[in-house]
Amino acid sequence: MFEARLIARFREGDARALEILFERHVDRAMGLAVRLTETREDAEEVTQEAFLRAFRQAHQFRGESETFSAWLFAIIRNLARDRRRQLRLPTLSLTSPEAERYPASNDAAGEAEKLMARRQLRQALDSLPEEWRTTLILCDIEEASHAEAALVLEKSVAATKSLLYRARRALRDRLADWEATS
Amino acid sequence: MTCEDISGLINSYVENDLSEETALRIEAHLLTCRDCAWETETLRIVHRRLLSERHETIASDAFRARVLIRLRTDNEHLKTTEEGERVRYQLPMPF
Repeated sequence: MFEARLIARFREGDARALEILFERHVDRAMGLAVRLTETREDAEEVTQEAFLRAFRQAHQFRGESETFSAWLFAIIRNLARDRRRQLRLPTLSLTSPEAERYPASNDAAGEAEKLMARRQLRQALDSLPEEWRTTLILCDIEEASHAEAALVLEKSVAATKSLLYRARRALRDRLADWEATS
Repeated sequence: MTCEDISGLINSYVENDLSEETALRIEAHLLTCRDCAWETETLRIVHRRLLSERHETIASDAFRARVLIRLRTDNEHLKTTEEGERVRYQLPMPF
């Protein structure tokens, strides 16, 4: 496996291997961190710390059974959870500052509606337990495979699929409740 | 196909991750079962709404450079090249 070889090369002192691994994963790592933290600054700190830890623990990487991204995502999830606990922040921010800067359109009413829908979705996600929220973000927004998400969530693939099903149903019910009351 | 079969396949169905044959069998059931049709369609809507949130986050150049420098200093065992190069970071090819 290419990533396991890169890790081996990194451990032997090849700086290029570190750069390649970093470049391959930095955008997805940042994408997840942005959704699991409150501000872009937090997301950058979490992402940087996750890379530092990932390379410090490189000797533990099991290339055959896990991907570097799943490994990194698991670290990001833990760091973001710790950070929220410390700050006593209740939720993640699905709509990141950069998400708010979506390309503007001339259709102001349409844009307002989209923004409202996005806020509603964010609130519904925020109201879910952390594990369900993270599952939805990983699988449905961040395009992680079920196997990757299973590694991050420390569950079997079957349990992850079941969790995803329950999380989607719960999100649907939250959205339906809001629709009914608005 | 039964309602129980559908619930086991519903994730894959809304993700379009089933063979055409299995999808057709599910759809045959959905035509006759209002409960399963509702369950499937509402979950498909939720999945689509989440998909619409998908947008690529790009780490800034300054952040990339900063973290690479930090990673290099944090891993002293890394060998430097003959030029004693520092972190080489180049922008990716134009999108």
